[in-house]
Amino acid sequence: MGKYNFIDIIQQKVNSILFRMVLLFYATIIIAGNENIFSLWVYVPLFFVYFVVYLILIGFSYGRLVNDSVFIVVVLFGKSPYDIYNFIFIILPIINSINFSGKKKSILLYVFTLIEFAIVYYSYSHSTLEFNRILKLFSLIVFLSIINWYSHLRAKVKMFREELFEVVDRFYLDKEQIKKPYKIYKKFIEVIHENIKNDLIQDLYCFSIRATSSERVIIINGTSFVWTYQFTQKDFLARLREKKTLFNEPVTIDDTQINKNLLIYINIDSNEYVFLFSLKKDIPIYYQLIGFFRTIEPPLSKMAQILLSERKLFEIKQDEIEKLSEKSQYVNRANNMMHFIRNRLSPFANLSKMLGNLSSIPDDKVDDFKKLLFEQNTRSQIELKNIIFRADDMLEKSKNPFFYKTLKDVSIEKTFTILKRSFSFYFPDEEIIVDIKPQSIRRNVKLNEEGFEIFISDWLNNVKKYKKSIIKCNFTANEHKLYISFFNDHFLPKEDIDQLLNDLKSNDRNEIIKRTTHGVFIIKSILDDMNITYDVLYENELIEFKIELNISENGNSNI
Amino acid sequence: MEIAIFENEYESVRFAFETANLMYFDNKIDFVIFPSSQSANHADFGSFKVIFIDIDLSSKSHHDGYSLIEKIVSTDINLKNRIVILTGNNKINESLISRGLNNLKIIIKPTDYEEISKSILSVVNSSRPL
Repeated sequence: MGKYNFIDIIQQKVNSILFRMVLLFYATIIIAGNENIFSLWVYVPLFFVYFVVYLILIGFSYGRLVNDSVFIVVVLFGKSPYDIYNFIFIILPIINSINFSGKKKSILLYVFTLIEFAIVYYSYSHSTLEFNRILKLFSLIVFLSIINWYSHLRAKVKMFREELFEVVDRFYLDKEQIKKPYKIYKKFIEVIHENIKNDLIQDLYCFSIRATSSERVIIINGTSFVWTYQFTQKDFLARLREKKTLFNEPVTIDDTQINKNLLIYINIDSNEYVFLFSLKKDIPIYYQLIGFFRTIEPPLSKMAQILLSERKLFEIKQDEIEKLSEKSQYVNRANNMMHFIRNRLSPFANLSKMLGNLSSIPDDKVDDFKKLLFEQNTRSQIELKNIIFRADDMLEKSKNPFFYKTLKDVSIEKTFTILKRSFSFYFPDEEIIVDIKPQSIRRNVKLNEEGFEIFISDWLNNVKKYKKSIIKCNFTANEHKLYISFFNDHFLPKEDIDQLLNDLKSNDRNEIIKRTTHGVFIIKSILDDMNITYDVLYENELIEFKIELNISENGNSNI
Repeated sequence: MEIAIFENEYESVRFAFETANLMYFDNKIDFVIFPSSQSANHADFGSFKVIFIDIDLSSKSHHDGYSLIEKIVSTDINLKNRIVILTGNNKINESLISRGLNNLKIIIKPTDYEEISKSILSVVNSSRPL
């Protein structure tokens, strides 16, 4: 049951109680203003019994209907059915039923009303058969029933659309479907079939129109996989754009002619989509006349939006893959460079070994040995040039993708959002302690967003690995500076922690690069690249890593 | 004694081999250099006492170092003991194992003439007469 249905049911309950109040009130007026067959001692308990029975039968629509009818008949017993007030009392349930135009539509209501009229007619001693009056009264019932039927249809269509929307909405919640939008189509067809009580649709396909050099209709997906497809009429796009829906357009899918079909055109932000329903039989004329299939346009439009956002996500992913490939190429090049150097170091290794052994070479071999030594030295000089050339090439010519010196203005709010996202990922139970006074003007810090994200996740990842129980993060700002501090305890031995603190404080890059632990070198390089001041403190077994960013203001208040 | 060296950049190790030859083998070794594995298509591997094979990172040639080892071993399983791998790749053992090539002698570059001598001696001394 959807949200829409639930609210509707609550509203119906309130409506139902109010209606019974009206019935009781109206009955009081009728009894007070007419001569009554029964004494007041019959009517007073009747009111009471009627209401109690109503409360008992509140969940049974047919029971309520019988209860109402009995009540009306007893109140009107012996009174004139032609009296307009009495007659209105009889048809009150019909008037009220317009409010209950849910799925259940009961012809019984009309049958009961006629029976009530008949009983009251026969109970009234002065009744005469007056066709003229009966016709007038009954035409009212006919009109009411027409209104009733129409509002029922309207509610049915609305509910149908709501159900389809729910199918589409479920897409975002269901992990199974999130990468397979076409899975919705089957559910979509099911809901349509349930609502029209007709097994009409075979398959559903989605196409998009790509306005490249020549307009092309491209299959996106469908309930079944499509290898080949063709829309045979050349002007079909022009006609579709004009009419928005087309019936039985000649189309072949996987060499099968689909004779019975429905095409619906959707345009989202100038991205055009075509949904093709292949049908098992012709759409009944009735549905064609009332434009029933127009009602599925909004859910399809939402579907198209999903496909569009999928496409945009895919494009973003593609960009990321390209960036990643660039980075991995760089890493591979650096890796190959190391192997190249290893290979080229052989002459130096041999040269050094020869020099080391020179004094102990036997006399008969020393001349040849020296000759080889000089030749090895010449070769080493050549290799040295090779190595330097390759190293320069690597350092200068190839673009380092791990380079975070390009800074831009990032608002304090955005900075916090980036921090918060990472922090909650590593420590979902902890909160960042914020001390910032809201300001109307936009305040920025200079950051490279990617570098900042890598720094935070590198540091927090280490904290997560080495902390015992305490992790705290402060985010504070004064007029000129933004401070972000991370506090944590640890279970590392003293010498490790001393080393870590030394490395973090040290400016000797060569010293740090020798060690590989903690990724300290990367963290420091990134912060240095971004020109961010940092400090590390150690007190009461707590490590505090603190960064400091300069705040600049600009007049633009769009945060 | 003939020793085969499959090495496309022989110059970088040449003097280590020549010094080894001078110091430990009285220049009695003839080094036969194959700059590529294809150049040994018709070679008689059995005639070499030791076979040095360079394995670099790329596998540009159809017959890279690995395929060459497989080819030599397929001609005679005993030749496996005569193979010494020369490489700059310090993770070579993992790659060899993943290709089903275990228990091979390995020299990881950079190397020097003493290391070369030792590996030649160990092969020569351990190999059974064929």
